[in-house]
Amino acid sequence: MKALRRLTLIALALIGTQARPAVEIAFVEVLGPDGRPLRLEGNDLFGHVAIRTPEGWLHAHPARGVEIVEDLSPFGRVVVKAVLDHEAVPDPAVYRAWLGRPYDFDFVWESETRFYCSELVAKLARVPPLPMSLDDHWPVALRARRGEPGLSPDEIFRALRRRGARLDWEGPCRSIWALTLPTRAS
Amino acid sequence: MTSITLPLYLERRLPRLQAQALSFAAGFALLVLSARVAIPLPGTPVAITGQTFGVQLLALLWGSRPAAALFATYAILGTIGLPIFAQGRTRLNPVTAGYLAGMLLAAWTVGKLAERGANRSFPRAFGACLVGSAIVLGGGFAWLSRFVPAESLLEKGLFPFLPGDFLKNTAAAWIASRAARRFEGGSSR
Repeated sequence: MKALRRLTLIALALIGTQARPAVEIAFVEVLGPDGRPLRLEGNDLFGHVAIRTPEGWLHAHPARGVEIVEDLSPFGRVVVKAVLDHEAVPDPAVYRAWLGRPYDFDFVWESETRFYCSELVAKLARVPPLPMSLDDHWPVALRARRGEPGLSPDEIFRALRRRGARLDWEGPCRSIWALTLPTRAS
Repeated sequence: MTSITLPLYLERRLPRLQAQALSFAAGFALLVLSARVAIPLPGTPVAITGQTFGVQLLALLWGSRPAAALFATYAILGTIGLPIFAQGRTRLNPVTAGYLAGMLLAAWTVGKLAERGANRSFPRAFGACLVGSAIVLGGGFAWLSRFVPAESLLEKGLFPFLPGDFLKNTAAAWIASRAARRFEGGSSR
């Protein structure tokens, strides 16, 4: 009976430890019309990002706006999930108020009437913005906003790695730039 | 009156060590295989799984101590990274941890009821399963309330699982009551 009690206590302690909240963020490789991974900036690996809520994956969809989905695979291939153990999960009171808001094609960080994918995730995961670089493939109107605050999925990825996120790889990254990951982490 | 459970039945027929090993292996396989059956539901982070069926059957046939020990071992191995949780997860889903803790308590409670004769007839076995379900759902629901807003808690953490639990409890009670009669040496027909 003593052994059973110990075993039960160990099991409950382990469940309790792992059941503590964690922030989970999925980095998605999106394929363009040519079948090649979409690049937001020169060497970027990820075209999209989403954050786990108790109700599913929360993301900003270019056509449908902010929504919760069960499965991200219709959108792209989840390459890696970054998990911040013991950090509070997104507050439902905050993100539920944002559901249905349209996609922000202008990448305006300050506004919360529209969201782009990285902005939505970064605000919930408390990742501070950086000056946007917006390379030459972006429309001129957007390039004019270089230096304004913003983030790309890759910049969130790098910020989370610096914060000590655990990485759950879902599959190989097809981009050759994935080889640069160890350098980026250092 | 104490019921004969599967470990006792095996010990009467096999050398003690062999009986214990077989009982442990069979119980563990039951838990792992039942967890493989999982139906994700839209709109809720909790999936319908065969785990509750596995736990109820384990408790009814193995009794309180073996069932609780087996489930505790299963939970420990799952939390340290073996892909044995529902949907082959290698990590505990924080949102559904309450269901897992509830299953541990349910394994012991339903096992205790089974040892007191609850597995000898279908209605009694079904009644014991209802107690087990209440513990599992209660634990899961209470923990889920930390993550899901109160207004959608019932629709995400309780209602979707009631029909499935009814079917799983019926199957577990039916199998256990027939098997228990065999262990006692009576006719199962």
